[in-house]
Amino acid sequence: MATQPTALTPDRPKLEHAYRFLSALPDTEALLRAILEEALEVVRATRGTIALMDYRTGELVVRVAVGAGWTDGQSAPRWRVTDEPGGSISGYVALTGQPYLCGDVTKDPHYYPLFPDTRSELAVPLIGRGNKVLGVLNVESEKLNAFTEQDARILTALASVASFALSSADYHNRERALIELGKDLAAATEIETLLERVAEVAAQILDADDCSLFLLDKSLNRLVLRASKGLLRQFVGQASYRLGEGLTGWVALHGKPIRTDGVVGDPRWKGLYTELLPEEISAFMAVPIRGRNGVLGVLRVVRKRSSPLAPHYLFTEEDEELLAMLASQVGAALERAELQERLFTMEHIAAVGELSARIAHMIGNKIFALKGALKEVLLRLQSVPLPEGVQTIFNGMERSLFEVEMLLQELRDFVKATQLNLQPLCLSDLVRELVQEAAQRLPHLQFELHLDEQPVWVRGDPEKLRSVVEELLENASHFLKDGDTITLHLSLHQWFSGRKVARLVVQDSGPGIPERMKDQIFQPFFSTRAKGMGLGLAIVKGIVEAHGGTITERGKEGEGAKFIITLPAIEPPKGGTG
Amino acid sequence: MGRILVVDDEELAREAIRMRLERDGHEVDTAASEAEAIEKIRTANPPYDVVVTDMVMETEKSGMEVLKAALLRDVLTEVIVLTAYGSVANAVECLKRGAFDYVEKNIPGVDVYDLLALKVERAMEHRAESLALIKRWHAYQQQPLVTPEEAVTD
Repeated sequence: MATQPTALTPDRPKLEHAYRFLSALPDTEALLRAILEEALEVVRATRGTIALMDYRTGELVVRVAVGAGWTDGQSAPRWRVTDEPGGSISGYVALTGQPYLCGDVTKDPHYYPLFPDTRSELAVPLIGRGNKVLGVLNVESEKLNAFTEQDARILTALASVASFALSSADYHNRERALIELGKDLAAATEIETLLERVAEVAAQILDADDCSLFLLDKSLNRLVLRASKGLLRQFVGQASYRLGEGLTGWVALHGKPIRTDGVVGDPRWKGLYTELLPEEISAFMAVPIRGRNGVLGVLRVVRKRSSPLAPHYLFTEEDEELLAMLASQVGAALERAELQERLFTMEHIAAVGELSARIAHMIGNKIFALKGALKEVLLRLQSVPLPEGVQTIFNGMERSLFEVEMLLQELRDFVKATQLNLQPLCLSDLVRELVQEAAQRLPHLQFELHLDEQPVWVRGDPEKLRSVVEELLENASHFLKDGDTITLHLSLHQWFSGRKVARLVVQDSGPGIPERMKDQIFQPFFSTRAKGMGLGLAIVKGIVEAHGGTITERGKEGEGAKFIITLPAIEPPKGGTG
Repeated sequence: MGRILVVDDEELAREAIRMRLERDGHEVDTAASEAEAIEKIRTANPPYDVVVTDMVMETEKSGMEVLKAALLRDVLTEVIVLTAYGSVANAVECLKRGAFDYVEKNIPGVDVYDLLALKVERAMEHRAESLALIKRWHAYQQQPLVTPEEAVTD
């Protein structure tokens, strides 16, 4: 083991040669082969291997083999990572992460015989970021005590070049996938397609077996599955967690990531929806998807165990950073999409409003003139007996004029939906009052009202909020038969961000809204009714959104319509208990 | 009954209002534009008792100009502003500047001509009250003044 300083000099240029390879970034296989060839030459070894870790199985798999004795087509040897006797020197090095010098294999407990002429061996680990063992570089000789400490140092240097090459190839792949995904996200195509793509890419670059994406549905206050790669795919749109429920709910509630080996045994784990059988899960990782105003959802990945005995294939800190980065891209894309949609609707409404205001003004003037003229005719004919049927014609004319004015009023309500006169008001009282009125106006329907004991207060425009509820009841009544029920629930909810929201659910037992119409019901000028302009629900949406709230329809066709309104709640004013 | 000027650029509307108010016994004059209305108000002698004017004619604020002219001619002339869709804000502005009232042209299910006739009636009453007040004021001013000093030394 004596050091021979003279031997170093001719070796140096070869190392530099290896570094040059590296900067040219050829394919990894070729690079590893070049490094191994250099290694053999420098330390005058008979043959050698570079084996890489397969973390799925927990085994070392030979990727390149160089030197005398190897035959083409020979299947790559695999070694377990272990310190058991006869487990292989490479396997032992992978376990310890330390170089290993063996002068006489016949006396070595770890040696695993592959070639009969092998006498001595030298193995060094390939170490990646975070001291993770990526693989083992192993050389052997038919001479006893063929290798020195100095050789070990040289091989360690070469191994670090190999590690660097492997890491950078890995980075390169991840970077490429991220850039591709970034392009997709920026293109802001359909959001569902994007989310599916995110799940796919996340699984791919994190070497995960599955990936699922949950988004917070604010009207339900639940995390709903929006994309998944494997088994859970069939539950997209259905599977959901309460905030704080299970590992996924925990991540959303606390806005913190979870990175763990298996899930069984974790007190937070519920096992409601899993991509794999719980005992199959080798590692689990979930990160929050953040928006400007809090958590928008959760992105989670799982790795599967290749066999019940395989060690856990854990996600690293680096993996977590990567997933968090993906999540932040998703968050930005979601907010951008939402903003775009909102801008579009607002521009749409403003344009419709301005145009309609001009036209309505002109029509209003003409109608006023017509009303006056018709009235004058009627007054002049008062003392004259009218021919048969003429009175009916006059009545029809008056009714038509009335209806035109109703249309004008609808249009005006629509344009004015966003001009609010805000004041603190007790929503509980308002809803109670409106339900009583509706019950009198619509005696053929049943009304059920569920109110929290605590009165719910909001800052709102009493007239406008009144018309919101009236319109929803009115709208429902058009689709209901005698004896059908309209149920209203008003309750106070606290979001994890601490914000309180009033939640009003208006549900009926009618036919419900067909799936294909759901996207359109809030659009201006959409109507299935003969009367009116189809501005009713557009006005409702305009008013609710102008209050900083949301409205969605969550009913199922055949089971009735279900409108959910949320409005920012306020504390009841002092002295007013509602 | 009163002398009334009806201002509207819509001929049918103008005529319908004229006929409705004449039915109540008023003497009704009409004008088809802001400019014509202002001219008639300036030259009217005696001034009109009530001016009924549309809000939006040549401009969005034509009604306001008519109101100004009417009050300049006779501060006791009562002005009622007619508004169609969207011009209520301007009508409210007119109220602040001394208009008697406004009438929305398109209230579904309401006979706005009867409503207008009623408001003209009220405006006439209001004007009569104002005139009576002024007469009393004049009468009071024409009484010989008795100063407090004279009252004490008397």
